[in-house]
Amino acid sequence: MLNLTEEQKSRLTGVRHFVKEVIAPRSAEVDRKQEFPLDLKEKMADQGLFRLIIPKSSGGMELNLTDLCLVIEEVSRVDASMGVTVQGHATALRPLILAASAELKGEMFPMVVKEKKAIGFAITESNAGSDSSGIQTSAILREGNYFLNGSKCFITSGGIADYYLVYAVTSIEKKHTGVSAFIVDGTSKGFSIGKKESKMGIRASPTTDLVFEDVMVPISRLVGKEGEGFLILMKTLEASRPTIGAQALGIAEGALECAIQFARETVQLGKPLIEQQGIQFMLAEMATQVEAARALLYQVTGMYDQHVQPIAAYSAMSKYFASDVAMRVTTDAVQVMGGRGYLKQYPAERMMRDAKVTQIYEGTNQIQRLVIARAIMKLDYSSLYRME
Amino acid sequence: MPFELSEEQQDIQKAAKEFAEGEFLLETALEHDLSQKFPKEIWKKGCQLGFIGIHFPETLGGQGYGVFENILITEQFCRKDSGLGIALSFSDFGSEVVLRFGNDTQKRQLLIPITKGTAIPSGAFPESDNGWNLREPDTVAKRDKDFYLINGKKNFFVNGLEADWLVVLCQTAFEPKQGHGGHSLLVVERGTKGLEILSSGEKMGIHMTSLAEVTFSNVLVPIENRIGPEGEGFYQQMKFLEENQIEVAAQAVGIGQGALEQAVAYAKKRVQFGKPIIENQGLQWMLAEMAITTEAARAFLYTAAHRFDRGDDQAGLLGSMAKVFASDVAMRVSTDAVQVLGGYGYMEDYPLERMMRDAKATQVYPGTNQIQRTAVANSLRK
Repeated sequence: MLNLTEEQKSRLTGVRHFVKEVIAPRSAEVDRKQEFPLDLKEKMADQGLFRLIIPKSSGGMELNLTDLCLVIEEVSRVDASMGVTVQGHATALRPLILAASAELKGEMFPMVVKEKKAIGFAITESNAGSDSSGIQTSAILREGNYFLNGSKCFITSGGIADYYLVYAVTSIEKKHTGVSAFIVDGTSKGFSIGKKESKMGIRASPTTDLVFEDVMVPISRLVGKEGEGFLILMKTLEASRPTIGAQALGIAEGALECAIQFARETVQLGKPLIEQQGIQFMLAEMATQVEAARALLYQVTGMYDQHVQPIAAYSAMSKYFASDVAMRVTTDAVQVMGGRGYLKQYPAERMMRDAKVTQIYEGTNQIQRLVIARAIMKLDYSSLYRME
Repeated sequence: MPFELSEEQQDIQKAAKEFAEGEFLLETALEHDLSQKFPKEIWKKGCQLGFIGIHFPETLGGQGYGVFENILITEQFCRKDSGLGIALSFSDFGSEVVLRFGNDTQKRQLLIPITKGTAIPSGAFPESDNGWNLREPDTVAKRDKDFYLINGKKNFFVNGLEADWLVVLCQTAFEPKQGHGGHSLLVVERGTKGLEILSSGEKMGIHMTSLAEVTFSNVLVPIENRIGPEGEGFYQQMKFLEENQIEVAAQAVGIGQGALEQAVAYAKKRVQFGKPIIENQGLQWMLAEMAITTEAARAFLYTAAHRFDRGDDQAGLLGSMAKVFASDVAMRVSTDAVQVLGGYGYMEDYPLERMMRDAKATQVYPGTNQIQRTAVANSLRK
């Protein structure tokens, strides 16, 4: 059992209050319209949701991974679209924290803290999904500036982010060491937002293509060194995958709560639905799954925060387990509610659609299995971390 | 046991497949899914070609086939497109109570237009806040000489917004407590005074099929509109549900098959890490599992349909089981098919996200899989 400190409790109470008062009343509407409520961006920034992991010295909250996940879980319990908005921004900040020069940090962190700017994370391309080594967006150095050409797809917060953390090829011959990470200003000449996707869920979070046509990026906006892109990406994923686990956990909890409330309040065949033992067993299984996902997630974030290495396989486990649980629990929550669960009138319907994406993004759950399998095969998975 | 389809059945299956492949275009489906409209044009074409009401006798515009042939069509339709398939498969929803229990006049008047594509029926069986508590209907019909006076409310009835007539389960006997024998099925025509029909609300999927809430305020219908003798309604409805379960199982099998095929086609084409993703054993096993469960669901479905047509005592129970099994399979297979396509599967441009949303409905109607399990369990207890 995770014991929360007073500080954690008070932070989460604040987030819960904000989500309930500001986000929840509009969740159904923005899902239907498939529109990100732009005024919420500022409110989320004011609430501190964009500076969660920025160092205190730069005005941030410097949360560790456990605390970041607790916040994302809390937001996602009510609205997974806003959950991924917070998650995606934190994921885009991570490479800066891990690898950026003091100068670039000094430029970007105040933009986020004071100017309320959001950052999007851009790696995926149409031919480079699971295989991120297949990216083709190029960055050519000419007279002190990089020039980016190519396009990205399925980019979270496309169009609402102010900056993008973009991976591009700086040397074709080098493959893995030929990729670099850049900060691209969303107002740059030659940069544009391409197709906006219509999708099953997380509909209030825009997913778009990004198009680069000779976009000039100053050399100062190179994150880390040239050719370090992949290394930075792998380190970023170690931290970001559990945050998708947190989003998934939040969705599962939200749906479970919705189903329990419905089962308590709905009278069928002369008694509350929850008096049916079959329904009780379903709910019991859902609750158990949720608790197992939570236990694994916060065990892994604790390991990350204590710098246990290697962590990649554990990060992958926490993401894939929690998202599979979210899919199962939301599908069953709709089922418990029957015909009413299938209606948009109750949030379980949206949560089931939202849950599906957590099995897909930040590496599909098949890729997570590969990561775990690789660790097992290399024997860098061991039982050392088993609790005594 | 029909482990092989007859030539005639193969012809029907082939015709349905060709019709669906020719008419169920992706743009049409997307457009109807977004606008939440019943696909009138395609439905009319389907009627002209004899797909709707194939299980009605020839004298009533059908072709005299059984449930088996009917579900072969449903399966092929839903395999090509879940939304259009379900809309067409339910375009005769509720008509079976007239087919099985109506008199000749009722059959002629009500069934022929369905096969011609000039009328859409509906059945209002579930109760508004009562779920599937069929024993205590809250819609009552009081006999007044040659009329019934109907009052009450029902929800979630299929085709509600388009229906030209609906068959309504009403309580017609009051004292002493009549139990199952106190109900009758009455046909109410659209436009009858006191009838108010509203959408049940926006839903996750099956956007081309409407679900509606209907309120009866002193609705008068002549006694000629009663199906069969008074007091038979509950039993008639249970028989109808037995038939309808099999239809829903067929929708589910079609969705499972269609989703599997799309996942396989994509996995062969999509290259990652220098090879088609289907070369990955992890993915192969996923696809294999999807194929195995879909085949099992189809075998179950065909068995249940065959037994129903043969008039077996256990056909209803088998239908319930097949429906639960096939719809659970459809949900799992469509969820996994989206997974195989990754990000693309989640987008509306590809039909899989819609299939997954539609598949969920088959676990919920006509009576949730939990109610079906209770029915199965009750039969074990006997």
